[in-house]
Amino acid sequence: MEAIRKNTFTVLLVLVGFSAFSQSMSSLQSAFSKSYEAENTKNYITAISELKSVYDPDNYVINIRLGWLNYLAKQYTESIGFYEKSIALKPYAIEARFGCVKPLSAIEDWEKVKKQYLEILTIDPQNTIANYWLGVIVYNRKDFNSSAKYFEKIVNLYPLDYDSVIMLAWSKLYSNKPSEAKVLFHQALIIRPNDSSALNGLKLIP
Amino acid sequence: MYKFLITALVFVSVVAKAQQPITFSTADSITYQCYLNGEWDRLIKVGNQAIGQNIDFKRLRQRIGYAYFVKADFYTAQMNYEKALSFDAFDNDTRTYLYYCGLNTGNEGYARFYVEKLPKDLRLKLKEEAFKPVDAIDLEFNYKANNLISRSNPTYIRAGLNTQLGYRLTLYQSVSYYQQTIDAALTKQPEYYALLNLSVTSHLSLDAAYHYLDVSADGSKYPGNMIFAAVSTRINRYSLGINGSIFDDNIATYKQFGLQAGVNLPGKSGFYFKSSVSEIIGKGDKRTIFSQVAGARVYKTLWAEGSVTLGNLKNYSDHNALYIYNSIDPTTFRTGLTLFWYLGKKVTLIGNYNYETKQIEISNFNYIQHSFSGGIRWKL
Repeated sequence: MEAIRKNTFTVLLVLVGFSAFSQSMSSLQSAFSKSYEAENTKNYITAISELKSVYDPDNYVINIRLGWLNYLAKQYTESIGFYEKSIALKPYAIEARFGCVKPLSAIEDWEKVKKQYLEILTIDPQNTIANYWLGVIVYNRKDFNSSAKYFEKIVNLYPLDYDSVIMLAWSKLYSNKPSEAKVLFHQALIIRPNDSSALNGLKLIP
Repeated sequence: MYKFLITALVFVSVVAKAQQPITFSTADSITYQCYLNGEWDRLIKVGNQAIGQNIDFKRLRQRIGYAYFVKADFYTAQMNYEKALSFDAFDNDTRTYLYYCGLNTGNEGYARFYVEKLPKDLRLKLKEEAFKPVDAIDLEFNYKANNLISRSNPTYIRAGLNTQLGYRLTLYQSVSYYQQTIDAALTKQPEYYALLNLSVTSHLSLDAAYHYLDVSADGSKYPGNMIFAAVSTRINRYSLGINGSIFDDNIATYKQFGLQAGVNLPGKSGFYFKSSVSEIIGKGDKRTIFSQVAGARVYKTLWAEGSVTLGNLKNYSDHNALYIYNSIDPTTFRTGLTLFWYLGKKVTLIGNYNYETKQIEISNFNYIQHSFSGGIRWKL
């Protein structure tokens, strides 16, 4: 009799726990659903409020979504804060880092943008997006040897990617490698015939 | 009663409006409009309100920095541009204004630290070359008057040359000549001085100097050598430094250790204060010397600086060991006033008066000396 009582109590506890979990999942799904609707109508503040009603600081999905919605609402400082929480919760997830780059770029904090891309490349060294934008950042800083390294990685993976080929060509030209640049400008003209940037580059090579 | 209620309601609504949180968009658009319209006070107010609400970005700092720059508050401008640089270390607008802030706060090392990072065409436009053999020259003449029969009125003449060896390395050289007759014996003292200054970072600099004194009294030679080193930092309005020197006058060796601190107060008068305390150890003697300087702009391009130095200055050195007070009669107290008149961007005229109390060591007899100096510094 005692054993039956104990078992019944355990089953009841499990059922209560499961019911609470189901309710919490259901309210989370409902909050997300409402936030998507509000986002579609560009009502970002409402979308944020919906998620804040079920906010859990340890929930990666809520934090990353709040990062995105705050970015759309141009609340960049808050957006960065939520993305940073997401990164702390899942340090090997690169999506939160890519997300974080957006508000950081909006406030032109290029030092932190560069840091995020470098972190992404530590996790995923072949990542083409991170390699490309990091290449662009260092190219704008006139560090053409470094930019060539980043663009070269992409060109090795995707030899027909025009954007990377042309950036690699200009990086090679400005890092005093005209013969390599010439080959790359010609390659760019194969991908995109009569491309003005490639033709301009070739004019600079004797 | 109604009047009171209406007033209270209006007041509450005004307070509520004033405390309305600012957003990125409003901070960005208002400060940009203020920048275009030249509304510097409003730009600063809205910008600082945004920063207070944790909204901080490169353009905002650049705009606030520019507003302070236009208002000639170069230290606050510099602080904001430095923050802008923390967002984007390669922004050439930020670097250019940091260069101008350095020039306007008299911190040439800081200015040249940032000009080095600018593109070549911009450096040429600013006429800032890495190597400038003749960057500046200066001349100084000093005449001291006393009432003693046994001491003539000493004279001192000095010429200096500043050379830019690189954007962060300068060499300053000086030759000088001191002369005085003491008890019918003529003391002659030609000197050579060289100072190397290296800007390690924008806020930290190292100095190393050598000073040679070819002292001769009544035909006998007493050559003196001093080596000097200093580390100093300037962070916005504050400066701090430590220095040390060793001086050998062919009779004894003296060591000097010093601490310096300074502050520039906000405001158009540009009040500044500098304090230094030094300890001299040598010949079985240990002395402490305290010096205080206070200066301000008194009229457009005219600055005045008052100073007082307490302690026995025998073999004391100041101004990075440019001056060594090795007179046979040590100065025991000194106070004075210096005027700096900036004639355009290139020429500075300097005039100085000092009241000095001196002591004849053997008899402990104190006497007074009046010191008058005039000088010119020409930046080429």
